[in-house]
Amino acid sequence: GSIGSLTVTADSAKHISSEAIVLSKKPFTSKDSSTYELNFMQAKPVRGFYKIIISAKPSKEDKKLLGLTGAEVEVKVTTQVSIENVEIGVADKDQTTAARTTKVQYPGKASTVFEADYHQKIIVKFQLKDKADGTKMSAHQTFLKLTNQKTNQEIIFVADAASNKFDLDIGSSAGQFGHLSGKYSMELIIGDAVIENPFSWALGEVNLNFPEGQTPKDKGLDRYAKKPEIKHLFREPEKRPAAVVSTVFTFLVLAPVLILVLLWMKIGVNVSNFPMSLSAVGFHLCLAAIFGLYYLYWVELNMFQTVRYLGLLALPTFIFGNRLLSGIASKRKGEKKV
Amino acid sequence: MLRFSLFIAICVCSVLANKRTLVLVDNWSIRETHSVFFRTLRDRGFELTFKTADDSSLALVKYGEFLYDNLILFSPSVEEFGGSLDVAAITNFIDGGGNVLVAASSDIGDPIRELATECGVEFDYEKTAVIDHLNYDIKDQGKHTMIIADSKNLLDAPLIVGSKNINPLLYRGVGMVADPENPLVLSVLHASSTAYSFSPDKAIDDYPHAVGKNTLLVAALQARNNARVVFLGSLDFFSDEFFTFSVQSGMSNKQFPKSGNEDLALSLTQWVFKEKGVLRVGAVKHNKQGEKEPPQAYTVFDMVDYSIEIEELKDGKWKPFSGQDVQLEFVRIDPFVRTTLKNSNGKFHITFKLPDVYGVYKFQVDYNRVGYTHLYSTTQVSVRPLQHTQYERFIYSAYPYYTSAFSMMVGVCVFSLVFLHFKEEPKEKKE
Repeated sequence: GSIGSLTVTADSAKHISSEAIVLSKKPFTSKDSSTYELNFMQAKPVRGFYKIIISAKPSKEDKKLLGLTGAEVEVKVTTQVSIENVEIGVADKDQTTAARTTKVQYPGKASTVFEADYHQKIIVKFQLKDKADGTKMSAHQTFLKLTNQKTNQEIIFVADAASNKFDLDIGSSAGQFGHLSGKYSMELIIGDAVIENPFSWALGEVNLNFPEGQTPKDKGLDRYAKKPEIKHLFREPEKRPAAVVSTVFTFLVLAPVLILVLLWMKIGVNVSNFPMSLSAVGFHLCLAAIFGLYYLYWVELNMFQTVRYLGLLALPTFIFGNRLLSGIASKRKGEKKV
Repeated sequence: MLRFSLFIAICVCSVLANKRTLVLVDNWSIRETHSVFFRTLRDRGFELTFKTADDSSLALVKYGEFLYDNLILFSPSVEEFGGSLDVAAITNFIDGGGNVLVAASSDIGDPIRELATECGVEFDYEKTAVIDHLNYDIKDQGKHTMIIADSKNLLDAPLIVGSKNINPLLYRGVGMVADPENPLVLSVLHASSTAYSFSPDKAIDDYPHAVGKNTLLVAALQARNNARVVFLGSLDFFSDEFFTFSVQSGMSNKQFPKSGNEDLALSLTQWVFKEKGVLRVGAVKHNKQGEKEPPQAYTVFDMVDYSIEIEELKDGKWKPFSGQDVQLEFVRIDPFVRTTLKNSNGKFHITFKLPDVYGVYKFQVDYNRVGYTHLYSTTQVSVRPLQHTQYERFIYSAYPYYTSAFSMMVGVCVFSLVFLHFKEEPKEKKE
């Protein structure tokens, strides 16, 4: 049901971080039966978070109503920030201030490209001002972001909060850059919960030079990528001599046979003593068969078949040969006797 | 009757295989604030068991078997798990193949941070948040911690994140960093370059835990046993509120009627609970070209046919896999041959020539791609050198040797005839 009209008062409004009390016992104005308004900004509060403690008093005392005092409401007062006196400079590592600094105005960009070496440092100075009352202010986020223009890698540095100054030692932070020399674009990121206009401002470009030799280590094989194809390289067959060489030597090899035949013809050769016995014929046939088997082995048989046939042929060859030779021996002995 | 009910029970068990899920919450109100998320999980067949994180009856293992297949940890602020559960038990669960979905928040407690460190992901300390002064939502409560993550910051992996063409995502919670050297952790969603992870109430005096694009909002890990773990720093990401909120940046006027949270949550849960991106191997066949059965041993220089069937789980059914980059390696300690297999409707095949080196080889298919389970199939075969009859029989350069051998044989035959049976002419009488 309706509670009737109430007198609502802001007992106090306290700035959370500075603990300053901005308001005390300020009444709310009633808009309609259940809405009450307070113009907080009239008190010109400084930026930040405030805790407002509210109490309400009903026109008629009512013991049933609870929660009439000590209600807390959090309010945020925002402001716009302006950045001034921005200076960028390159100095040697041991110096504290840069010899020459370039002033840049927001939202412009430095006209020249800065050059920095690994034994130098980059100094960026700036000042943040509250646009509402012109006082100096600090922001939660004061970052300097350098982006490698080729690889799009981003390296972010944090400013010194008290002095609002960046002191970038190139040599010692080389690892973060992956030792990649080249052009980097510089951006200043300013942000805070109470800032209405946070920004990421491109200040300028800097050319960083890292010592040679520290090449960035190879990323290594991406384990999720397709691996390179491998085609096996078959061993090249050995080179063979020209066909002519083989032909010539083949005929050369046949020459001794020719010489044998010719010389035999010269001295007169015969086989008149051929005994015409089974053993003689058998022996010579078996011997020829063995050599024929070798020829077949060369042309189409394999080792196992050859050895088997050889085994078969060996026995008769031996028996015939033995009988033939003993026959010849006994014949010779007989002739001698006579 | 008994047999019938037993049959039904077995059917139910097999259907629910993979779907038994334990959900741990900080307090029971999460069941209501995240009701849409849980309802969609139930609609997909998951059997959800809700328990508070410090319940003294918590157990993942009973009599040596896991009671659940999946674990959802929506209990960021737990200080100590109850029952037999602790970080070691959860890592044991992951080692046993269980999948875990972990959501944290700015009230993160030590156990969740420890679990994440075990998996290669580092959460920031408690009471910190991901702050982005240039990408916060207009509904933010003042500290710029309710941030908008653009869908272009998602990983290029449609299996894990679904379509990248979704509305921007709302996020409020703690940030993570992943070790860049860890090859198994995937940065699924990272924050914009202007974001950072720090305590919103303290001035920055130290280098923040995470700055810019290194700040991970969603990280995923697929362990070597294919168990999947997903970490999100924002429990609110899954809440009904965030699913239905409109997205409007405090800095620009672009407005989206609904956040992309529900779409991303659907894709992530499909991936982490093994509904998507799961492969399996069917039949593996190999034989000499032209034959049906594999021989006892292959010979060098043989032409070999190899085929493998790979299937992918799609909508609960196994369908032929449509990948085009599956490779076969023929390995004897080091790979001698590596070729891409041709895909004919799930049957991957290739014909190739065996190397001229003999030995014991393996047909190895090792398929590792983002979002898919690791597929590994190996078949061992022997490759023998040429038989003595498989060399060239008639080499022209050897003809001198052939002729010398055969001429020697002929010579022996003829000579033996002549030598044995030669009849000397009787000597002429000398006058």
